[in-house]
Amino acid sequence: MGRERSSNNRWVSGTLIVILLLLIFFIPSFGWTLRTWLSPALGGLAESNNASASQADSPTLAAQNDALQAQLATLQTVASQLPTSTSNTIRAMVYSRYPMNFRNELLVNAGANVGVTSGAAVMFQGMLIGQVQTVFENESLIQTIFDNNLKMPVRIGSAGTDGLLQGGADPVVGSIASTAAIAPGDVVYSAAPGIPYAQPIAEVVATSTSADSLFQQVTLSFPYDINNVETVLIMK
Amino acid sequence: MGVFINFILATLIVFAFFFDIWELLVFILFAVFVINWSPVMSVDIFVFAIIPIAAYAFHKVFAWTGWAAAPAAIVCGFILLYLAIAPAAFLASGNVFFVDLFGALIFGGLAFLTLDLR
Repeated sequence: MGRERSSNNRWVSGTLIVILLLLIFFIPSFGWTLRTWLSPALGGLAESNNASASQADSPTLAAQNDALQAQLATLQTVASQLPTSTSNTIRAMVYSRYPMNFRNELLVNAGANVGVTSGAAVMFQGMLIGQVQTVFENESLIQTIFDNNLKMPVRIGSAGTDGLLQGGADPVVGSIASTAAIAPGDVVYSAAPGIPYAQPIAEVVATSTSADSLFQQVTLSFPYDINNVETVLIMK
Repeated sequence: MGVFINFILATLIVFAFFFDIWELLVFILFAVFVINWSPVMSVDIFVFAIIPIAAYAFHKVFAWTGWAAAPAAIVCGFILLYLAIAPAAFLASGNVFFVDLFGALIFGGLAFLTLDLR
């Protein structure tokens, strides 16, 4: 009796293993959907969206403020060099996120089929949040600026001070000349090849001296929570 | 932006002490199915899946079922996970590892107690 039950269990387990392997390798999108249903963070987002307009407006206004500051800084320094053409964008929904602590990546529902290219800038509420890393036929993988492996040249404030953005759970900008005048509230914007110039990234919170005392580094604040990002715009 | 606590991995390691290999494989594959974030299988997910199987093998070979077995397996599993996937990040930001491990040990301990009382 016990042996028969054990044999039945193995048949059930074996069948489930085959079904799960087929799902994992041939229809992974079912897993992303299931994860969305299971994720409490997404439920919380839905609730917060319905909660009050004032809560939703605050990060939007802060993002717009940073975007305007970046535009102002750019106009003050390189107005004559700004591109005049407007960028085309592709709106994409976030399917899933990297599930551990080692990276910060988003999978979105736009791929080569709609013209996404590797290295394209990814925006959220007017802020640069990352770059397309890998393009699949129907999806793309985005490396966000909160990824430990991300390094990106940036500029800071109206003086356009050069720095290097180091991604991570708490991104910082380093390699800033020790004589540069940087103040809290200065906007940090993109200056990397392959990404449209002067896309706002964050705002300076505080400055400090690097461990070797040769450079300045700044800590940053962001007007959004990357864990709540559900739609992005990918630049063509 | 927070620290993601690997509750799922801790649970799977604890399951290795209570279920047979076929049942454990079902749990592991279901976890992989849910947490896989990419259309292609990555090394990260492969390492994630291997660790509970290694815990099962460890449990069978050494026949260690004492109360310290599961926490010890969780500690070893997490060290292996971090060293295999991002050794540089492991060394650079040890606090993330310890927060992750601490949360996993508490959750894994509760899972172990719950299953042990059955």
